[in-house]
Amino acid sequence: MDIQLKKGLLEICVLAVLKKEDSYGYQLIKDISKQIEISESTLYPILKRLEGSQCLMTYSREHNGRLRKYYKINEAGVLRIHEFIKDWDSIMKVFDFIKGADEND
Amino acid sequence: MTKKEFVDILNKQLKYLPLKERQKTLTYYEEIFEDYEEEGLSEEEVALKLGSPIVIANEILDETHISGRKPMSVLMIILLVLGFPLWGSLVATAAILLLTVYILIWIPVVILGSFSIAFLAAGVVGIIGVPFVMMEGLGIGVVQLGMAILCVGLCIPSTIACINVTKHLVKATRFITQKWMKIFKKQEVL
Repeated sequence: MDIQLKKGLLEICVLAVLKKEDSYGYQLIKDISKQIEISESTLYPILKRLEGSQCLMTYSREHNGRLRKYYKINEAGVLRIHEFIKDWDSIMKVFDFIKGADEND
Repeated sequence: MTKKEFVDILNKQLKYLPLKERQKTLTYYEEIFEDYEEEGLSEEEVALKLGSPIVIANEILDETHISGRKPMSVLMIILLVLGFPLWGSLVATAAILLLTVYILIWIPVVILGSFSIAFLAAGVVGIIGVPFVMMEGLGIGVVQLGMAILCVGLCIPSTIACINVTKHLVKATRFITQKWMKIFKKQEVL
């Protein structure tokens, strides 16, 4: 898949997982991997970007005698998901246009 | 690679990142290690799964638009060029001093070597000369023979000393050179 396209999709995937419940790095990878390939090193910059744009916040909770960082979705994050879904119609139109052009060859 | 090695390399590669940012990154990867280990993977297996920490660090640096090496400013280059007469002569002095140290170290070897060669030459020449001196008088001849044999005898300890000192100095020189190389290499990495 195109890298830029995948980056965009992964951001929304992370938000989608977090919308269900708060999660942490390892669990996020496990959950998202079921839909789309993601590695530890791709997830990190995505989390950083989402935190930077206020889409999510973090907190630490103890787990097995150590601290684990949890990610929690913010209002802006929920809005991002809605926007993505709303945008999908126009994306599909562009997709049909591209596909149509390819088939006319 | 162990978890510590992985984190250490990552830490080193990210040294131009702000401290807070760097710690966040390290915590993230430490946590990934711990979570995988809870699942039963070994540190080595996790490191293999994550891939090269150098590649990971470079990706992070690309993302934050900070290159691993700070670029040299124009001012710095101008100062370097203008300052050449000063730092050039300083570097030359340092090089000559270094050379002097090496020469001084090797002087004992040269002295001991000269001793053994001189004793050997004196002994050989002395022994060859004995028959001729004998013609002058038996007493002088015997003294000459004795001195010549003494010279040959003295040649042996000085040769042994020379060889031993050389062996030790080769070791010492190698050690000093390695130390120098280390210093230069460190500066290169910086």
